Amino acid sequence: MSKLEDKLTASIKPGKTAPAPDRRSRPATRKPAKIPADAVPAPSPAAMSEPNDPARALHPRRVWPD
Amino acid sequence: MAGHVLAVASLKGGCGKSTLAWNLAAGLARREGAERVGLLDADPQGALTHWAAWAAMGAEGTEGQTGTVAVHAAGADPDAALVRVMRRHARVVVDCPPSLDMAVTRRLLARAHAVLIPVLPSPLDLWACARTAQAVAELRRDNPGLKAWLLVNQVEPGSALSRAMSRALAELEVPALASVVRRRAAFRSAILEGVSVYQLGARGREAAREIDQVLREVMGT
Repeated sequence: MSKLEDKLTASIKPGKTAPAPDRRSRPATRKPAKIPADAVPAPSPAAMSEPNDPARALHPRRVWPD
Repeated sequence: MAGHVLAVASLKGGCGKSTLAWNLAAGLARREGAERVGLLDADPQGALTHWAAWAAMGAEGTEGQTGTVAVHAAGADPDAALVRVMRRHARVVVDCPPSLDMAVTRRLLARAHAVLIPVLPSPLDLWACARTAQAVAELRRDNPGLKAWLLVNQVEPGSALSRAMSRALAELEVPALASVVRRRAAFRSAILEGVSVYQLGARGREAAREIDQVLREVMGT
């Protein structure tokens, strides 16, 4: 089908058959997925420790100067 | 017995409605006999009545006779005029007013058995044709027996727009005839000479063949 045929056909009902706008210029409109509250595990106490907690194990690859 | 009525209607003027009506009537007259066919000029512009008067000056027959088909002016009451013409002729071709908004056209189509909607291969005509087709589709609720077709008129084979029309017309509520009528000088010449394309001899042969094809599709024969 030629572009002329497409254009002529679309011109009959402009509101109904208008070409879709460029998707790249549109903001994302997709809603974030809903996750059930009970599907998210509760945070463990270890993960919630203070950043400067002396009891916290050092990172195994961390190198300290002498 | 009331005659069979073939109306030619369009919302938009300039689509060759009157020229088609006259040549379709002439084609029917060749098939069935001139006395069986009547042409009702219900267009307020009176193009066919004017043409009949012009033709009568150079044609045999009484005033209003074109030598082949009797042309009846609708006058102030087109609906009543149609009833009269239907009583006199077995086949009646009606040149409708160029507007379906008018109550007159609606009443004429309420009595018609078939309607042809001419459309030129141009966007403006296509849009007007879409509105006409929609109005005719609505009229068919009151007259379910009304057959309706679109007819692409004044086609120019070399034009891409002419070739693109068929797909666009497929979107409308009324089907298009497979037959088309090309833009030909013969149609204009015939009017000036007070005859139909059938009487132009070799000059009108192709035009007459196209009108015959349209009639075969519309009349189913």
